[in-house]
Amino acid sequence: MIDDPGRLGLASVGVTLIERDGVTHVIDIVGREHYLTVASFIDEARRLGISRRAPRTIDFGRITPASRLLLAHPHADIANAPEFPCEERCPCHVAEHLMSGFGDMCARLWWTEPLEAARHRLALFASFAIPQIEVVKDDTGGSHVSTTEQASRAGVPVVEVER
Amino acid sequence: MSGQLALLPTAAPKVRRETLPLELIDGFEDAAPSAKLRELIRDLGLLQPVVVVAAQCGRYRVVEGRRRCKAIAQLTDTDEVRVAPTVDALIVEGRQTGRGEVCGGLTLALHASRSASPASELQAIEAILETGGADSEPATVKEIAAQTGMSVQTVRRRLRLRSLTPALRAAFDGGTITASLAEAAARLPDACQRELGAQLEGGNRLSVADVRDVARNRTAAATGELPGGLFAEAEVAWQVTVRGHLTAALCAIPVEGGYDELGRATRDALAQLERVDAEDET
Repeated sequence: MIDDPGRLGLASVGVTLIERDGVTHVIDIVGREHYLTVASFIDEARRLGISRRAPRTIDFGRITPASRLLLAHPHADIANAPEFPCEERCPCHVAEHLMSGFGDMCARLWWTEPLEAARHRLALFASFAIPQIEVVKDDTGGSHVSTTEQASRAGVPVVEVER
Repeated sequence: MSGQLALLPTAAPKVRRETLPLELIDGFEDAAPSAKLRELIRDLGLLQPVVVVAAQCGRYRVVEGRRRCKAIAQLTDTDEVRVAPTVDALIVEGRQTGRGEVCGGLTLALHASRSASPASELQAIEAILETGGADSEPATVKEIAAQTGMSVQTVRRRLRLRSLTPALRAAFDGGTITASLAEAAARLPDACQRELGAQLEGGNRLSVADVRDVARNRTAAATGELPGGLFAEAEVAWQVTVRGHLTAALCAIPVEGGYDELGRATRDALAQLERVDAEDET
Protein backbone atom coordinates (compact mmCIF):
# COMPACT_ATOMS: atom_id res chain seq x y z
CA MET A 1 0.00 0.00 0.00
CA ILE A 2 1.22 3.54 -0.74
CA ASP A 3 -0.20 5.70 2.04
CA ASP A 4 1.50 8.87 0.85
CA PRO A 5 2.20 8.99 -2.91
CA GLY A 6 3.88 12.36 -2.46
CA ARG A 7 6.60 10.78 -0.31
CA LEU A 8 7.63 8.64 -3.28
CA GLY A 9 7.37 11.68 -5.51
CA LEU A 10 4.46 10.12 -7.42
CA ALA A 11 2.30 12.36 -9.55
CA SER A 12 -1.29 11.44 -10.43
CA VAL A 13 -0.23 10.99 -14.03
CA GLY A 14 2.97 9.91 -15.70
CA VAL A 15 5.92 7.87 -14.61
CA THR A 16 8.25 8.56 -11.70
CA LEU A 17 11.83 7.44 -11.37
CA ILE A 18 12.91 6.22 -7.94
CA GLU A 19 16.26 4.97 -6.79
CA ARG A 20 16.94 2.08 -4.48
CA ASP A 21 20.34 0.63 -3.67
CA GLY A 22 21.88 2.58 -6.52
CA VAL A 23 19.48 1.25 -9.14
CA THR A 24 16.80 3.39 -10.77
CA HIS A 25 13.31 1.97 -11.12
CA VAL A 26 10.19 3.28 -12.84
CA ILE A 27 6.87 3.63 -11.02
CA ASP A 28 3.73 4.14 -13.06
CA ILE A 29 0.20 4.56 -11.78
CA VAL A 30 -2.35 2.67 -13.87
CA GLY A 31 -5.36 4.96 -14.02
CA ARG A 32 -8.92 3.78 -13.38
CA GLU A 33 -10.17 5.71 -16.39
CA HIS A 34 -8.67 3.01 -18.62
CA TYR A 35 -8.50 0.07 -16.22
CA LEU A 36 -11.35 0.15 -13.75
CA THR A 37 -9.91 -2.79 -11.84
CA VAL A 38 -6.52 -4.40 -11.43
CA ALA A 39 -7.97 -7.58 -12.93
CA SER A 40 -8.88 -5.78 -16.16
CA PHE A 41 -5.27 -4.66 -16.53
CA ILE A 42 -3.82 -8.09 -15.79
CA ASP A 43 -6.24 -9.88 -18.11
CA GLU A 44 -5.20 -7.56 -20.93
CA ALA A 45 -1.53 -7.89 -20.04
CA ARG A 46 -1.79 -11.68 -20.26
CA ARG A 47 -3.07 -11.39 -23.81
CA LEU A 48 -1.14 -8.44 -25.16
CA GLY A 49 1.83 -7.96 -22.87
CA ILE A 50 2.72 -4.71 -21.16
CA SER A 51 3.77 -1.41 -22.63
CA ARG A 52 3.70 1.87 -20.74
CA ARG A 53 4.11 5.37 -22.08
CA ALA A 54 6.95 7.49 -20.80
CA PRO A 55 7.65 11.11 -21.69
CA ARG A 56 10.72 11.79 -23.80
CA THR A 57 11.95 14.08 -21.02
CA ILE A 58 12.73 11.37 -18.47
CA ASP A 59 16.35 10.70 -17.75
CA PHE A 60 16.78 7.55 -19.85
CA GLY A 61 20.42 7.32 -18.83
CA ARG A 62 19.30 6.09 -15.41
CA ILE A 63 17.52 3.03 -16.85
CA THR A 64 19.66 -0.10 -16.67
CA PRO A 65 19.05 -3.83 -17.16
CA ALA A 66 18.51 -4.03 -13.39
CA SER A 67 15.71 -1.44 -13.49
CA ARG A 68 12.17 -2.61 -12.80
CA LEU A 69 8.82 -1.24 -13.89
CA LEU A 70 6.56 -1.06 -10.81
CA LEU A 71 2.87 -0.61 -11.42
CA ALA A 72 0.41 0.89 -8.97
CA HIS A 73 -3.37 1.03 -9.14
CA PRO A 74 -5.80 3.01 -6.97
CA HIS A 75 -7.74 -0.20 -6.19
CA ALA A 76 -4.82 -2.60 -5.75
CA ASP A 77 -5.25 -2.80 -1.99
CA ILE A 78 -8.43 -3.25 0.01
CA ALA A 79 -8.13 -2.02 3.57
CA ASN A 80 -11.10 -4.08 4.76
CA ALA A 81 -10.26 -7.23 2.77
CA PRO A 82 -11.30 -9.64 5.60
CA GLU A 83 -14.88 -8.45 5.05
CA PHE A 84 -14.88 -10.13 1.63
CA PRO A 85 -14.39 -13.90 2.06
CA CYS A 86 -13.29 -15.57 -1.16
CA GLU A 87 -13.04 -19.25 -2.08
CA GLU A 88 -10.63 -18.70 -4.99
CA ARG A 89 -7.02 -19.76 -4.59
CA CYS A 90 -4.28 -17.15 -4.50
CA PRO A 91 -3.36 -16.70 -8.18
CA CYS A 92 0.21 -15.85 -7.22
CA HIS A 93 0.71 -18.94 -5.06
CA VAL A 94 1.87 -16.90 -2.09
CA ALA A 95 2.40 -19.58 0.56
CA GLU A 96 0.75 -17.59 3.33
CA HIS A 97 -2.30 -16.89 1.16
CA LEU A 98 -2.76 -20.59 0.35
CA MET A 99 -3.10 -21.50 4.01
CA SER A 100 -6.58 -22.43 5.16
CA GLY A 101 -8.44 -19.55 6.80
CA PHE A 102 -6.33 -16.78 5.26
CA GLY A 103 -8.62 -13.78 4.78
CA ASP A 104 -6.42 -10.75 4.35
CA MET A 105 -5.66 -8.87 1.13
CA CYS A 106 -4.83 -11.19 -1.73
CA ALA A 107 -4.74 -10.80 -5.51
CA ARG A 108 -7.68 -13.22 -5.78
CA LEU A 109 -9.98 -10.37 -4.66
CA TRP A 110 -9.12 -8.39 -7.80
CA TRP A 111 -11.23 -10.78 -9.85
CA THR A 112 -14.21 -10.41 -7.53
CA GLU A 113 -14.54 -6.66 -8.08
CA PRO A 114 -16.63 -4.59 -7.90
CA LEU A 115 -16.84 -5.10 -4.15
CA GLU A 116 -19.37 -2.82 -2.59
CA ALA A 117 -18.11 -1.00 0.50
CA ALA A 118 -14.52 -2.00 -0.20
CA ARG A 119 -12.06 0.59 1.07
CA HIS A 120 -9.60 0.75 -1.79
CA ARG A 121 -6.10 2.10 -1.45
CA LEU A 122 -3.41 2.90 -3.97
CA ALA A 123 -0.80 0.13 -3.97
CA LEU A 124 1.90 -1.41 -6.11
CA PHE A 125 0.59 -4.59 -7.68
CA ALA A 126 3.18 -5.75 -10.18
CA SER A 127 6.88 -5.58 -10.95
CA PHE A 128 8.40 -6.27 -14.34
CA ALA A 129 11.83 -6.22 -15.91
CA ILE A 130 12.33 -3.57 -18.60
CA PRO A 131 13.59 -5.58 -21.60
CA GLN A 132 13.51 -2.70 -24.07
CA ILE A 133 12.37 0.83 -24.78
CA GLU A 134 10.20 1.39 -27.83
CA VAL A 135 10.09 4.69 -29.65
CA VAL A 136 7.03 5.28 -31.82
CA LYS A 137 8.03 6.44 -35.30
CA ASP A 138 6.84 9.83 -36.45
CA ASP A 139 6.89 9.29 -40.21
CA THR A 140 5.72 12.81 -41.03
CA GLY A 141 7.52 15.04 -38.53
CA GLY A 142 10.49 12.80 -37.78
CA SER A 143 10.37 13.79 -34.11
CA HIS A 144 11.22 10.23 -33.10
CA VAL A 145 14.83 10.72 -34.17
CA SER A 146 15.72 12.94 -31.25
CA THR A 147 13.65 10.77 -28.91
CA THR A 148 15.56 7.68 -30.02
CA GLU A 149 18.78 9.54 -29.41
CA GLN A 150 17.62 10.43 -25.89
CA ALA A 151 16.39 6.89 -25.19
CA SER A 152 19.67 5.42 -26.43
CA ARG A 153 21.29 6.65 -23.24
CA ALA A 154 19.43 3.86 -21.43
CA GLY A 155 21.25 0.65 -20.68
CA VAL A 156 18.57 -1.43 -22.42
CA PRO A 157 17.91 -1.89 -26.15
CA VAL A 158 15.92 0.80 -27.95
CA VAL A 159 13.76 -0.12 -30.92
CA GLU A 160 11.67 2.01 -33.22
CA VAL A 161 8.13 0.79 -33.80
CA GLU A 162 5.34 1.83 -36.16
CA ARG A 163 2.43 3.73 -34.65
CA MET B 1 -17.74 41.64 -15.14
CA SER B 2 -18.29 37.90 -15.29
CA GLY B 3 -19.61 36.94 -11.86
CA GLN B 4 -20.97 37.86 -8.47
CA LEU B 5 -17.74 38.98 -6.83
CA ALA B 6 -16.79 42.51 -7.90
CA LEU B 7 -13.05 42.94 -7.42
CA LEU B 8 -12.69 46.20 -9.23
CA PRO B 9 -14.71 49.40 -8.85
CA THR B 10 -17.69 49.52 -11.19
CA ALA B 11 -16.80 53.06 -12.26
CA ALA B 12 -13.45 54.75 -12.70
CA PRO B 13 -12.48 55.93 -9.19
CA LYS B 14 -11.34 59.46 -8.43
CA VAL B 15 -7.62 59.75 -7.92
CA ARG B 16 -5.87 62.61 -6.15
CA ARG B 17 -2.23 63.06 -5.31
CA GLU B 18 -1.15 63.97 -1.82
CA THR B 19 1.82 63.71 0.50
CA LEU B 20 0.83 61.46 3.38
CA PRO B 21 2.55 60.80 6.70
CA LEU B 22 3.82 57.22 6.58
CA GLU B 23 2.31 56.54 9.99
CA LEU B 24 -1.18 56.86 8.48
CA ILE B 25 -0.57 54.06 5.97
CA ASP B 26 -1.15 50.38 6.77
CA GLY B 27 -0.45 47.17 4.88
CA PHE B 28 3.30 47.24 4.26
CA GLU B 29 4.54 45.79 7.56
CA ASP B 30 5.72 42.46 6.06
CA ALA B 31 7.26 43.94 2.92
CA ALA B 32 10.92 43.27 2.25
CA PRO B 33 12.59 45.98 0.17
CA SER B 34 15.97 45.22 -1.32
CA ALA B 35 19.10 47.08 -0.27
CA LYS B 36 19.20 48.55 -3.78
CA LEU B 37 15.73 50.05 -3.41
CA ARG B 38 16.66 51.58 -0.03
CA GLU B 39 19.82 52.98 -1.59
CA LEU B 40 17.87 54.54 -4.49
CA ILE B 41 15.29 56.13 -2.21
CA ARG B 42 18.01 57.38 0.14
CA ASP B 43 19.87 59.02 -2.76
CA LEU B 44 17.03 60.13 -5.00
CA GLY B 45 13.93 60.20 -2.83
CA LEU B 46 10.65 58.61 -3.84
CA LEU B 47 10.40 59.02 -7.62
CA GLN B 48 7.06 57.32 -8.12
CA PRO B 49 4.03 57.77 -5.85
CA VAL B 50 2.59 54.76 -4.07
CA VAL B 51 -1.09 53.90 -4.51
CA VAL B 52 -3.40 53.82 -1.48
CA VAL B 53 -7.10 53.66 -0.73
CA ALA B 54 -8.79 55.50 2.11
CA ALA B 55 -9.54 53.25 5.08
CA GLN B 56 -11.35 54.04 8.32
CA CYS B 57 -10.48 56.72 10.89
CA GLY B 58 -8.46 58.82 8.50
CA ARG B 59 -6.04 56.03 7.70
CA TYR B 60 -4.99 54.61 4.33
CA ARG B 61 -4.26 51.11 3.04
CA VAL B 62 -1.47 50.59 0.53
CA VAL B 63 -2.52 49.07 -2.77
CA GLU B 64 0.80 49.31 -4.52
CA GLY B 65 4.15 50.37 -3.12
CA ARG B 66 4.51 48.16 -0.05
CA ARG B 67 8.26 47.81 -0.51
CA ARG B 68 8.76 51.54 -1.11
CA CYS B 69 6.79 52.40 2.06
CA LYS B 70 8.77 49.87 4.05
CA ALA B 71 12.07 51.13 2.62
CA ILE B 72 11.25 54.68 3.74
CA ALA B 73 10.23 53.39 7.17
CA GLN B 74 13.50 51.46 7.47
CA LEU B 75 15.56 54.44 6.32
CA THR B 76 13.78 56.65 8.84
CA ASP B 77 14.45 54.12 11.61
CA THR B 78 18.14 54.13 10.79
CA ASP B 79 18.32 57.90 10.25
CA GLU B 80 19.66 57.32 6.77
CA VAL B 81 17.07 59.47 5.11
CA ARG B 82 17.00 63.21 5.16
CA VAL B 83 13.38 63.46 4.15
CA ALA B 84 10.51 63.37 6.63
CA PRO B 85 8.71 60.02 6.92
CA THR B 86 6.09 60.95 4.37
CA VAL B 87 5.24 59.49 1.01
CA ASP B 88 3.89 60.89 -2.15
CA ALA B 89 0.69 58.94 -2.73
CA LEU B 90 -2.06 58.54 -5.28
CA ILE B 91 -5.23 58.19 -3.24
CA VAL B 92 -7.88 56.11 -5.00
CA GLU B 93 -11.28 57.24 -3.80
CA GLY B 94 -14.68 55.75 -4.25
CA ARG B 95 -17.48 54.05 -2.35
CA GLN B 96 -16.21 50.55 -3.17
CA THR B 97 -12.51 51.03 -2.55
CA GLY B 98 -12.91 50.55 1.19
CA ARG B 99 -13.86 46.91 0.65
CA GLY B 100 -11.08 44.39 1.21
CA GLU B 101 -11.73 42.46 -1.98
CA VAL B 102 -11.69 45.64 -4.10
CA CYS B 103 -8.44 46.72 -2.49
CA GLY B 104 -7.01 43.25 -3.29
CA GLY B 105 -8.36 43.42 -6.84
CA LEU B 106 -6.73 46.80 -7.42
CA THR B 107 -3.42 45.45 -6.15
CA LEU B 108 -3.54 42.47 -8.50
CA ALA B 109 -4.62 44.60 -11.45
CA LEU B 110 -1.70 46.95 -10.87
CA HIS B 111 0.70 44.03 -10.46
CA ALA B 112 -0.48 42.53 -13.74
CA SER B 113 0.87 45.58 -15.51
CA ARG B 114 4.40 45.24 -14.15
CA SER B 115 6.82 42.65 -12.77
CA ALA B 116 5.41 40.31 -10.16
CA SER B 117 5.63 40.78 -6.42
CA PRO B 118 4.55 37.30 -5.28
CA ALA B 119 4.24 38.03 -1.55
CA SER B 120 2.09 41.06 -2.15
CA GLU B 121 -0.01 39.11 -4.65
CA LEU B 122 -0.60 36.26 -2.22
CA GLN B 123 -1.74 38.67 0.49
CA ALA B 124 -4.11 40.39 -1.94
CA ILE B 125 -5.55 37.06 -3.12
CA GLU B 126 -6.05 35.91 0.47
CA ALA B 127 -7.86 39.16 1.27
CA ILE B 128 -10.21 38.55 -1.65
CA LEU B 129 -10.80 34.92 -0.70
CA GLU B 130 -11.72 35.94 2.84
CA THR B 131 -14.61 37.83 1.30
CA GLY B 132 -15.59 35.02 -1.06
CA GLY B 133 -15.51 32.19 1.51
CA ALA B 134 -13.82 28.80 1.23
CA ASP B 135 -16.74 27.09 -0.53
CA SER B 136 -16.60 29.40 -3.50
CA GLU B 137 -12.81 29.43 -3.80
CA PRO B 138 -12.57 27.89 -7.31
CA ALA B 139 -15.11 30.39 -8.65
CA THR B 140 -13.37 33.26 -6.88
CA VAL B 141 -10.03 32.25 -8.38
CA LYS B 142 -11.58 32.45 -11.84
CA GLU B 143 -13.06 35.84 -10.99
CA ILE B 144 -9.68 37.11 -9.85
CA ALA B 145 -8.15 36.02 -13.14
CA ALA B 146 -10.98 37.47 -15.22
CA GLN B 147 -10.99 40.82 -13.48
CA THR B 148 -7.33 41.48 -12.75
CA GLY B 149 -5.50 40.02 -15.74
CA MET B 150 -3.56 37.47 -13.68
CA SER B 151 -3.71 33.96 -15.11
CA VAL B 152 -5.67 31.30 -13.19
CA GLN B 153 -2.47 29.26 -13.11
CA THR B 154 -0.55 32.07 -11.40
CA VAL B 155 -3.33 32.60 -8.86
CA ARG B 156 -3.29 28.88 -8.05
CA ARG B 157 0.48 28.86 -7.80
CA ARG B 158 0.33 31.69 -5.31
CA LEU B 159 -2.40 29.93 -3.35
CA ARG B 160 -0.34 26.77 -3.04
CA LEU B 161 1.96 28.84 -0.84
CA ARG B 162 -0.73 28.76 1.83
CA SER B 163 0.56 25.29 2.75
CA LEU B 164 3.86 26.77 3.90
CA THR B 165 4.59 26.38 7.60
CA PRO B 166 4.44 29.66 9.57
CA ALA B 167 8.24 30.01 9.62
CA LEU B 168 8.60 29.58 5.86
CA ARG B 169 5.58 31.76 5.18
CA ALA B 170 7.10 34.52 7.27
CA ALA B 171 10.37 34.10 5.37
CA PHE B 172 8.50 34.34 2.07
CA ASP B 173 6.47 37.38 3.16
CA GLY B 174 9.64 38.98 4.41
CA GLY B 175 11.54 38.29 1.21
CA THR B 176 14.09 35.95 2.84
CA ILE B 177 13.18 33.16 0.45
CA THR B 178 12.26 33.47 -3.22
CA ALA B 179 8.92 32.55 -4.73
CA SER B 180 10.37 29.56 -6.61
CA LEU B 181 11.96 28.22 -3.44
CA ALA B 182 8.72 28.78 -1.52
CA GLU B 183 6.76 26.94 -4.22
CA ALA B 184 9.12 23.98 -4.05
CA ALA B 185 8.98 23.94 -0.24
CA ALA B 186 5.18 24.20 -0.20
CA ARG B 187 5.00 20.83 -1.94
CA LEU B 188 6.74 19.18 1.00
CA PRO B 189 4.98 17.94 4.14
CA ASP B 190 5.19 19.94 7.35
CA ALA B 191 7.99 17.85 8.85
CA CYS B 192 10.28 18.59 5.89
CA GLN B 193 9.32 22.26 5.90
CA ARG B 194 10.13 22.47 9.60
CA GLU B 195 13.56 21.05 8.77
CA LEU B 196 14.06 23.86 6.25
CA GLY B 197 12.70 26.40 8.73
CA ALA B 198 15.25 25.23 11.29
CA GLN B 199 18.03 25.83 8.74
CA LEU B 200 16.76 29.38 8.28
CA GLU B 201 16.56 29.97 12.01
CA GLY B 202 20.13 28.74 12.29
CA GLY B 203 21.13 31.72 10.17
CA ASN B 204 21.70 29.70 6.99
CA ARG B 205 20.49 30.83 3.61
CA LEU B 206 18.15 28.44 1.86
CA SER B 207 18.49 27.53 -1.77
CA VAL B 208 16.29 25.53 -4.13
CA ALA B 209 19.00 22.84 -3.95
CA ASP B 210 18.41 22.59 -0.18
CA VAL B 211 14.72 21.99 -0.81
CA ARG B 212 15.59 19.37 -3.42
CA ASP B 213 17.90 17.63 -0.95
CA VAL B 214 15.18 17.43 1.68
CA ALA B 215 12.71 16.10 -0.90
CA ARG B 216 15.28 13.58 -2.17
CA ASN B 217 15.98 12.29 1.34
CA ARG B 218 12.28 11.93 1.94
CA THR B 219 11.82 9.95 -1.28
CA ALA B 220 14.84 7.77 -0.46
CA ALA B 221 13.34 6.93 2.93
CA ALA B 222 9.98 6.05 1.33
CA THR B 223 11.67 3.95 -1.36
CA GLY B 224 13.63 2.07 1.29
CA GLU B 225 10.36 1.05 2.96
CA LEU B 226 9.02 -0.70 -0.17
CA PRO B 227 9.11 -4.53 -0.07
CA GLY B 228 12.43 -5.80 -1.37
CA GLY B 229 10.71 -8.46 -3.50
CA LEU B 230 9.52 -5.79 -5.89
CA PHE B 231 13.03 -5.12 -7.07
CA ALA B 232 14.08 -8.63 -8.09
CA GLU B 233 12.83 -11.29 -10.44
CA ALA B 234 10.71 -13.48 -8.20
CA GLU B 235 10.57 -17.23 -8.67
CA VAL B 236 7.12 -17.97 -10.03
CA ALA B 237 5.30 -21.24 -9.31
CA TRP B 238 4.66 -23.18 -12.53
CA GLN B 239 0.93 -23.20 -11.73
CA VAL B 240 0.90 -19.39 -11.89
CA THR B 241 2.45 -19.39 -15.36
CA VAL B 242 0.15 -22.11 -16.70
CA ARG B 243 -2.93 -20.50 -15.19
CA GLY B 244 -1.96 -17.17 -16.74
CA HIS B 245 -1.52 -18.67 -20.20
CA LEU B 246 -4.73 -20.68 -20.02
CA THR B 247 -6.72 -17.68 -18.80
CA ALA B 248 -5.30 -15.53 -21.58
CA ALA B 249 -6.11 -18.27 -24.11
CA LEU B 250 -9.66 -18.48 -22.86
CA CYS B 251 -10.06 -14.71 -23.28
CA ALA B 252 -8.58 -14.86 -26.78
CA ILE B 253 -10.80 -17.62 -28.17
CA PRO B 254 -13.63 -16.02 -30.17
CA VAL B 255 -17.07 -16.54 -28.69
CA GLU B 256 -18.58 -17.09 -32.14
CA GLY B 257 -17.18 -19.05 -35.04
CA GLY B 258 -17.45 -22.64 -33.90
CA TYR B 259 -14.60 -22.75 -31.40
CA ASP B 260 -16.75 -24.15 -28.59
CA GLU B 261 -14.71 -27.32 -28.39
CA LEU B 262 -11.49 -25.35 -28.00
CA GLY B 263 -13.07 -23.20 -25.28
CA ARG B 264 -14.31 -26.28 -23.45
CA ALA B 265 -10.89 -27.91 -23.61
CA THR B 266 -9.24 -24.80 -22.21
CA ARG B 267 -11.76 -24.56 -19.39
CA ASP B 268 -11.22 -28.26 -18.65
CA ALA B 269 -7.49 -27.67 -18.54
CA LEU B 270 -7.99 -24.83 -16.06
CA ALA B 271 -10.24 -27.02 -13.92
CA GLN B 272 -7.67 -29.80 -14.01
CA LEU B 273 -4.99 -27.35 -12.96
CA GLU B 274 -7.12 -26.38 -9.96
CA ARG B 275 -7.50 -30.06 -9.02
CA VAL B 276 -3.79 -30.82 -9.38
CA ASP B 277 -2.98 -27.71 -7.44
CA ALA B 278 -5.32 -28.65 -4.58
CA GLU B 279 -3.96 -32.22 -4.50
CA ASP B 280 -0.37 -31.00 -4.40
CA GLU B 281 -1.25 -28.80 -1.49
CA THR B 282 -2.76 -31.65 0.53
